[in-house]
Amino acid sequence: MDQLNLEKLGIPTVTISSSEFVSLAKDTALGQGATDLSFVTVPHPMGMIPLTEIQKKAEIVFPEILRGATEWKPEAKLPPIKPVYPAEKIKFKGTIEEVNASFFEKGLSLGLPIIPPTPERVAKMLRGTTRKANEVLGMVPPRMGALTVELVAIHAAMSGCKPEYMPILIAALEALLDPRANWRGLTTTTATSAILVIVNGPIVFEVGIASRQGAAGSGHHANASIGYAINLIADIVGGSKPPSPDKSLLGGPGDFVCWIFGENQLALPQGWEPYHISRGFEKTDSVVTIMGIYPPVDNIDHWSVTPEEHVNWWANLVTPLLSIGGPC
Amino acid sequence: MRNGTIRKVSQVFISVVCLLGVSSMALGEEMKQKWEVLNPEGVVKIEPMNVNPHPSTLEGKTVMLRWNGKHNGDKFLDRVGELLIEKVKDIKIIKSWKVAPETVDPITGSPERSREFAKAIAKFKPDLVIGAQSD
Repeated sequence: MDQLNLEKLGIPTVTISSSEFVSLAKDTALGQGATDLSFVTVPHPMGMIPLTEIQKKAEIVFPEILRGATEWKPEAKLPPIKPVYPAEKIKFKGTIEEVNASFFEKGLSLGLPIIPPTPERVAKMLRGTTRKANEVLGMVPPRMGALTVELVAIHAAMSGCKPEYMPILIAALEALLDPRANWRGLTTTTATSAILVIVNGPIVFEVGIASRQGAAGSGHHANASIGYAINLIADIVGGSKPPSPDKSLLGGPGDFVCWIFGENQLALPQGWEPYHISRGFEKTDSVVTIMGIYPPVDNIDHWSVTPEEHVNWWANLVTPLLSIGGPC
Repeated sequence: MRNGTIRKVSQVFISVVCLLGVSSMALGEEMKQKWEVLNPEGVVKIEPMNVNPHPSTLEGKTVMLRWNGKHNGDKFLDRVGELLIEKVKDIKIIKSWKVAPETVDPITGSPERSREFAKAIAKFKPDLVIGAQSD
């Protein structure tokens, strides 16, 4: 991204990338409209090796760096753009098991079963929103697939959502598409990160978003199907699949079904207002908040009695987690 | 007569058994059906971006070596800088981490911050930037 912004300022660039990351780098460049950039690939890794080794790697690729600086010319062209709406129809003959196998083989699902998104099911899903089907919410990184409301409904149908879940789904996706969310970074990092959606307001009760004990676990239709739809969109429309451009070293369940639960607004202590109100919304507003998270760590404390003991326990728990925030 | 009746009963019995067998086989297999589904992939929509031409030579040019803070990136670029000075006449090398340390961050974090980094580097008017970005 930094190199692309230099190009936008009129400065030519050469980008050095380790072999493990060059495809992600090229996908990122293409996603910004740069079909070609001058890349020089260095055998992985570059980090965490001795000084003499990294110097040797520089010496080996130096002629290529010099050529990339002075002889490089862009070659590739952008593919032709198709209309974003309506979605293409696919005809198929087979059992539902064969539909699922075909979707998975074509990279249109993630390995969990899907419900085939027939036009009838998608039309029914679109009745859950007043937004127009051809409205483009944004481009899902890193592939920059155009996300129409119709496409949201397609994925909602695939994941088994009910039409009344569409407002939560659309709001969460609009939040993720906000540049401040850095969805690209969240979805391509080596870290075991996942998306968290917190839901506040009347809609929690209206559609049955779980918000109490076990809210992030199994057995909650709204939570599970909305979380599944969001990750389907991230991986299929956004193209973020491992091993590239999703560079997750291990990955986790959050890559299939993102975290989603409601705030337990009815159980808040005296004087503690719901999160959305603390952020300036009204009590009657239904609000989603999104963030990128690491897998949670349990606070298993069966001993603390005093406030000091509680705080010391928390400090011991948090300290090792601070290493996650180091250079990566 | 009796043999003929027995033969006919046997034929009917065998036919019924065969029919039941075929039906049970059909029940054990899911029927294929025709599907029409909507493609969930979505269309890639990218506005093309201009990529700048490169100088035909680096002689007399200013080259910025840009390190984003990932481990060993500076060491790699240090060696590249040494080799450029050795091999290219009148080249000027600027190291971003020396002149613009605020741009050293392995996780840029946001498109806005990335644009700020680019502007900070552009102030030095490099003819070319060589960036070590990845692990």
